[in-house]
Amino acid sequence: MMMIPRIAALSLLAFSLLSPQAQAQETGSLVVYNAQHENLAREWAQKFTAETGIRITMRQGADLEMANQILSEGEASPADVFLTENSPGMVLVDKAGLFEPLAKDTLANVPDTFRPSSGNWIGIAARSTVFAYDKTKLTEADLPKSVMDLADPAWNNRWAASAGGADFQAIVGAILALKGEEQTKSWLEAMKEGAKPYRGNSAAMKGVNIGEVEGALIYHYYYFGDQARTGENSGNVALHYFRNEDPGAFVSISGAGTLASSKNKAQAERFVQWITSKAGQAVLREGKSFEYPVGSQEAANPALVPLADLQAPKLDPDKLDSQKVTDMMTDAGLL
Amino acid sequence: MSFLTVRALSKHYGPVAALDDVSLDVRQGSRTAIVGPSGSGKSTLLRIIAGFEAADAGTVELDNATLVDGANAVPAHLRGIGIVSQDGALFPHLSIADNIAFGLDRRSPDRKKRIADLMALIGLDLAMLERRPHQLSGGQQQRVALARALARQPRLMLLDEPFSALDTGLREQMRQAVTQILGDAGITAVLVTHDQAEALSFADQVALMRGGRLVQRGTPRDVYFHPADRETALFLGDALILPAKLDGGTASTPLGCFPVAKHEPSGMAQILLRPEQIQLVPPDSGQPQLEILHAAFSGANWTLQLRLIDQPNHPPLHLRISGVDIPSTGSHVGLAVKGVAHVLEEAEMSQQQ
Amino acid sequence: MTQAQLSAASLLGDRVGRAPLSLRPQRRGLLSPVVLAAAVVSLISLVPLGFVLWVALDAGWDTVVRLVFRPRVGEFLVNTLLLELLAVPLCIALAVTLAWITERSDLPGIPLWRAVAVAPLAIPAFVHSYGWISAAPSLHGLPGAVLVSVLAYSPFLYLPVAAQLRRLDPGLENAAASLGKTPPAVFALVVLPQLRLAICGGALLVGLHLLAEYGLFAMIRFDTFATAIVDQFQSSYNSPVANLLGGVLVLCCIALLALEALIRGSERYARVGSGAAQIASRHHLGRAMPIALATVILFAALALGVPLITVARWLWSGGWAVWPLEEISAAFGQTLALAFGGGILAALVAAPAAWLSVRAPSRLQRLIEACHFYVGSLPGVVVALALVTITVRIALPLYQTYATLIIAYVLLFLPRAVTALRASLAQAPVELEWAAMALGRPPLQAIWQVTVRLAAPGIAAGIALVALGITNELTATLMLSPNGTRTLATQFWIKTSELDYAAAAPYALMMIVLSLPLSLLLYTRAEKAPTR
Repeated sequence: MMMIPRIAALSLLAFSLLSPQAQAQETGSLVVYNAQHENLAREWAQKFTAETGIRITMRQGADLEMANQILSEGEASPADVFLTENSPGMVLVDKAGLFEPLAKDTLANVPDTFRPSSGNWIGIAARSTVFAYDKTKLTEADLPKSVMDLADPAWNNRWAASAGGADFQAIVGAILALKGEEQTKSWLEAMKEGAKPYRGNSAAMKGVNIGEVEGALIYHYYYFGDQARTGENSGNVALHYFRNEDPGAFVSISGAGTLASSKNKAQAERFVQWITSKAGQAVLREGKSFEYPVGSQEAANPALVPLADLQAPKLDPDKLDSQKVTDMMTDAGLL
Repeated sequence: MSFLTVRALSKHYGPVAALDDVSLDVRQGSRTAIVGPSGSGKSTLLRIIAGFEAADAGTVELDNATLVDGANAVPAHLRGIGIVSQDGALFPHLSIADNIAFGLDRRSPDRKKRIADLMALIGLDLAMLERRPHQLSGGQQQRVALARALARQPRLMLLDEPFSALDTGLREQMRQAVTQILGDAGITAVLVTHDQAEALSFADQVALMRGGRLVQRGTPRDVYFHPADRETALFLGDALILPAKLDGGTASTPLGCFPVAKHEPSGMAQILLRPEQIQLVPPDSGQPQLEILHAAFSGANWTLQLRLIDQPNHPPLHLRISGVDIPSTGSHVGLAVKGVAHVLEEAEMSQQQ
Repeated sequence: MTQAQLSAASLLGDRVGRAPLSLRPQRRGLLSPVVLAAAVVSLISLVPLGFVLWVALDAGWDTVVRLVFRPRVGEFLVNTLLLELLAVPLCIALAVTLAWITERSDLPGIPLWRAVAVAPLAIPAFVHSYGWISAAPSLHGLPGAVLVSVLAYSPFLYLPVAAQLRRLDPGLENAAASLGKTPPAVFALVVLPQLRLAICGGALLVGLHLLAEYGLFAMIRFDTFATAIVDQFQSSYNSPVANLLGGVLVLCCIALLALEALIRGSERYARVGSGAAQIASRHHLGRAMPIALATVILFAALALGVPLITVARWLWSGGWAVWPLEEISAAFGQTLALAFGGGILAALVAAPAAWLSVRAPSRLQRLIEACHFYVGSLPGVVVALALVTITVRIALPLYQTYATLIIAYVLLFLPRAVTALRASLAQAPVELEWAAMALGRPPLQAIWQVTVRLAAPGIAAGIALVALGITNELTATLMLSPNGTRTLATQFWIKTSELDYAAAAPYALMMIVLSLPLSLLLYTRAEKAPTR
């Protein structure tokens, strides 16, 4: 007869273990939809909480997953702040009119090349496209001059990409914006033939390192991050920057925005402002993310090639059309 | 006066009638056996009396209190009816002592003594109290089940084939013990069984069920020697059933003429002879003669296959008979009958087909 | 018993005072509320299927044609087909071999080898994958997928096959041998046919896992419908593409269920005649001993050694730095809470259907049971997609709540709970409940004190089985969990996605630690299973 209370107590205990997170949302602290790397966002959140006492609950996801999720949720979205790795996710939410415009002094933290003219969201970090190659197999001379050269059948089965990821889809967005639909379409078709699919940039770089492929189209910081840890996945890897305003020299902007539906707008604004402040950007320089800081004149990690030397193509982040990209990649059989 | 009264009880499972208009009276302190083949509805009747199942229509009264009235019923746990089922249904997770005490008030001061008394009553050693049911033999388990039911001093004890899982020897012994205990305690008992010998030896009243109906009710002797119909006759024991021409207290059959009750009307009928009434006699020229085709020995009895010598077209007769000196195969014999032959009711028979 | 007769009369002395009897309208026992409850659960279980149909109708035929009938989907179909065709037969061969060695051979150390054959169950499928890509980084695609899934899923076949092998009546084999059949012929003609049902059931389970698994195949770089759906979800949330792929996946599951039903047929094998079954004698291996020993050792090395050594290696190289205790203990606590909360709820939800199948089997009951079973064969991604879309569009208060996540868990693991409860209720015959009522217990009390008490070990096993499933669940957890939820599986996944294998190792270890006692419980129960 003692069993009913025992079971009740057990289930009560079970659910009390779940509740701290549930409470966090009620006390007016922030819910952040985070598509940035978890470690980086966690470091930001912990330092911000230490400084302000505002607690942060994070939901981890991918850029376009979370952007579309916010669209689905609409007014009812529990999110206060949205962080991405790349700008297309930001653009999607912005076009749906779901962002709250940011305050002037927040926007002032970041130069206008790293934020849209609307001022509805803001750049918080930047990452450069690179061709990570196997330095035991390729020399400088063998490297493609432009990312468009990878469509050459000569590169068939020699290079890798993570087509499912938002990072790569942002790069395709840049190709589409710079080269137009026709060329992008044939480039994607060539890629379907010639590129080895990997799941995630890390996996692609690892593929290069163990000699499965000769090169991979990824972002720069995967290499530096691995070098800083054990170097186990990048010992044979070197980076090739395309420069010359090639689509392959595309620098992708990670963004942050506050949601119009948020009930904690002041704290949300404060978090975005803090990320773009000296303190927030210093995390990028000092931490293990190896992404480029874009705000408050913070310098990049000294191990990196300076952002100014990358000769990136000039692109309005608003011009990256994620829907078109996923449609074209789906048609090409990459998704 | 009737202690347990069942009136017009009916129960259907889908289109199948498990009980069809069953009525039964049980006197206080008596023992009634409900007997019938499997599927006859006897267990359903027992479950409705116990309160485990609901009736569609009809009433059940116990000691002038209504237990069942159509779809309304007193819940099982308030009826004060004890039950012992086929396998005892002892709780496997409880010790013997806890099983017996299950129905007793926990705070009752003489609880221990009651358990000990009951153990003595059923003839089990007190050392067994701490054992678990699976450590007991089948017979011991049934005794514990009886003690458990007796502990609540039931007004009525229902016995649902309680002996059928036991070995033959033990069965007889248990039946006598239970009869004795219930008789001494003066508890009214209803036994359900498919074993006609058990029913006949246990009860003062036998109720015979078939196809959801109660077909006959009476004392064991009465139903055995005067079954209502052919099927009942065969169900209750071996029988020799013969076509006969009745005329003023005599039945003329291919085997000869036998006396029947005087009030039987004249005409064609079927008559029943029990093996106990029949004796083999030396052949007599006045009576039809039979030839023994085959004789099989099975200890207490012989099973004989007999042929009518005068009527080669008559199918062979089978007769189980006891005796020390059985004439050998091929020899000729005659039959003698003790008492009167019973005339079966034709109408009842055809209705059952 | 003669001296006891004296006390018989005294027993009837003072009867306990009885309350006046009153007639009550009889509910048909507990039948109707139970049927109602089971029917409600069945209706909820139909939601994912309804969702898939709705998606197809909502998208319109043209969209379906455009998004489903394209080469990429064809690739997934071919991949899935190849995977099923290779992995399932290999799994059967492996499991039957292991079962024969542990049940019918005289190899020394049988208890150890039995444990080895079951132990991969305690390692989540994606941790197997993690082990293999660390040990052999270039392993990928179909060969990798087949290798890892055969190793990871073989216990699903080993358990029923070994149990059946133990239950077989050696009398039949002896009869065949006496009719002049050689041992291999006896195995092929007598033993194997009797294992058919166990093999069919286990193979179905493996086949469904192959369709549903995401983590294992994502890590070993093999594209299936499940990985494609998650990819789509990650680039467009609940888009028609993901939903329609989900529909195709559901069709694959249904096809598999139908295929199994077809192969299984309606034939049943049972011992004919009565008499006690004999205990099977073990075959003397003789010169084949080294081969049998090599087989089990190789299996242990591949299915246990590789993942466990990988975890150990990463833990070693990561040192204390990879043990952020607060995070890990939080994830451990949450996983535990979800696993047992879900387990208990699943047992409660499964109870009506289990009750009906034991106490009141009928045509309606079989339909209800079928609903309970089909939903468990659906992949986590599909159930999660359905619940995401429904909660965000219709039932917003349930969106991103633990309630929804637990509903998904309960639906996904409903068959485990029903099976365990059904078996345990069968251990508590209704006669005992009646006996308790005849002894004065009201119905609910009788059920609680007798039936529930007797079924308790089985109920606990059901809860453990569901908890085991939840502990290792990845996709539904990723897609449905409320903000801030971190389970061992999701944390492990996030770490490995960034190739931070060392940081992932503690989570893998914790999952194994949590799964081990649950698997052990199941193993000992299988050992104790009735031998006839």
